[in-house]
Amino acid sequence: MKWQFQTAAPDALMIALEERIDLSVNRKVQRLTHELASHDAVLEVVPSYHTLLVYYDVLEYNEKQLRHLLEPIIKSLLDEPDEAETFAGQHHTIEVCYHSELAADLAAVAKQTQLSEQEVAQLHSGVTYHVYALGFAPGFAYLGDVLEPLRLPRHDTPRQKVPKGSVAIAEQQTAIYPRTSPGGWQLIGRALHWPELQAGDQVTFKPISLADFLAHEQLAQEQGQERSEDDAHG
Amino acid sequence: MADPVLRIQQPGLLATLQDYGRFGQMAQGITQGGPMDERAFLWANRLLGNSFNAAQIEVTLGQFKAQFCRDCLFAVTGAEFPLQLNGRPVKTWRVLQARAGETLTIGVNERGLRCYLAVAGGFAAKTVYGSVATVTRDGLGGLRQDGTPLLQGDELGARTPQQKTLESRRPSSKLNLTLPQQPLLSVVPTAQWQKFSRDAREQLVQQRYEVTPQQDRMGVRLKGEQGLSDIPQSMISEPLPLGSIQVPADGQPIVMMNDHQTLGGYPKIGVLTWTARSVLAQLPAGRKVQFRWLELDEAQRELRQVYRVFNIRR
Repeated sequence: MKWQFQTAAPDALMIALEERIDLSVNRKVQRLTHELASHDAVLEVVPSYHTLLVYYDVLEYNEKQLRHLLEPIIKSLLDEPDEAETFAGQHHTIEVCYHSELAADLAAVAKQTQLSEQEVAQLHSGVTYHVYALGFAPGFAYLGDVLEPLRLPRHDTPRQKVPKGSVAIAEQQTAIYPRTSPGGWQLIGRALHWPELQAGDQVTFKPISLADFLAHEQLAQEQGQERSEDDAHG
Repeated sequence: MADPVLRIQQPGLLATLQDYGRFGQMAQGITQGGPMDERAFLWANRLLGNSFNAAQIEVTLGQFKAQFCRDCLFAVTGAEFPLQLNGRPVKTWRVLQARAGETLTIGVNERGLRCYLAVAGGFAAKTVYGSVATVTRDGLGGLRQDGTPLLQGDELGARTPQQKTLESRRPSSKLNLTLPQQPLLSVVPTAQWQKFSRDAREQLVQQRYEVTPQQDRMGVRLKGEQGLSDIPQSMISEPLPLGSIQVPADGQPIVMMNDHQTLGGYPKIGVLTWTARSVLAQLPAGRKVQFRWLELDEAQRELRQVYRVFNIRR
């Protein structure tokens, strides 16, 4: 696999693999992240799709020395056969309500893709997704790959306020907005609960009805109230 | 709180608790935060004999007022805001003695944006992911651990000083810590530098740039007379280091500051040096700056010196 070093900052070096959103490339990024994070010279590793950023100890090493140290590790890891079927992350199932009342773009997405809203839900929940990277905001996980018929661009102008728990798509990626924030992706559903995701994890979405979603929401609110009452008394 | 040292009477536009930053969590999308003018912040801690990481208050645009609840040594560094301690003028960039009940007033200043209020020992607050740095966008840090800036009536405690310091202590006058009239910001070529045309690389250092009002703790947009030409296309999102200069399609640079998003897809032409970043953090909209290219080795030398002088351990 082709790769290169790039200077990223006075204290950080980028390792860039082949420039594509691809599961096998991303698996190598995650293996490298794991391997390099424990290296003596390394302070922190930040992975993305095909790149990883390595912060290092500039008091001990200059960039040339660091390249020299890391190169054999990277080479040997990239030379290993691709272990497509081995999977180190966790698998999560997340309930999603695909309903226009909770997802501002669902109707428009259905129209643009010439599918029914139900078909959009079926296609979106019909595959297992891989967590490529976390970024943009705390806990925002970039999942892929979205099936071809559902791939749509981002909005030209991002929304000021995307509700917390919104399930959204953009090109081959999908994500849950972990908190209310601005955002430009197409909103097709809403989740109530989701786990903390890590790069390398796998996710499937399970459709639930609007009635179920609202019932769960009410239950969560009641429990939340009980909790805060406990807190007040405690 | 058992024994507060400071009560906020008026936070001004934005006053946030900051330590050196939140590290080790960028892989989870959690940004570093920390002081925008790192140089001023580190100097305040050094003057007071604090650890490099001791928490301070970053005051944006002044108009800040707070009362000391007990005797303590403190310092204000950063832009040269007019300071008054119980009505009498006092100086920035030196260790001062406050008595219980005295009020510190930070006025307005048009030449710089931020100043840092530090007390001996550093302010105390509960950490989130190992840091008290307030990052509103991430909802992390600060007195309430949820990213809320300081509010009127907030009371802050302080840690016990580990080292002695002296009233009136200040940096050597040989060190040029005042803001330059015509800032020259050093940039190290990084990332997609090679993908930018020769013309674009030249243009970045030839023309002057104006700091725009579109700036906050996430980033600062600059505007040149002409946008850079032949911009490389957007890319698959990649990790984004502090101080990176992103160039979107309009050719106008955006410098990523402390609360920047952890991943970004615009091409980057370079990264600001430590000093350049601290200077830029102070510049109000309308100020003109110029860039100059600097070798990586020199930028690393600067950073090493900073780590040694301020005893920084990451």
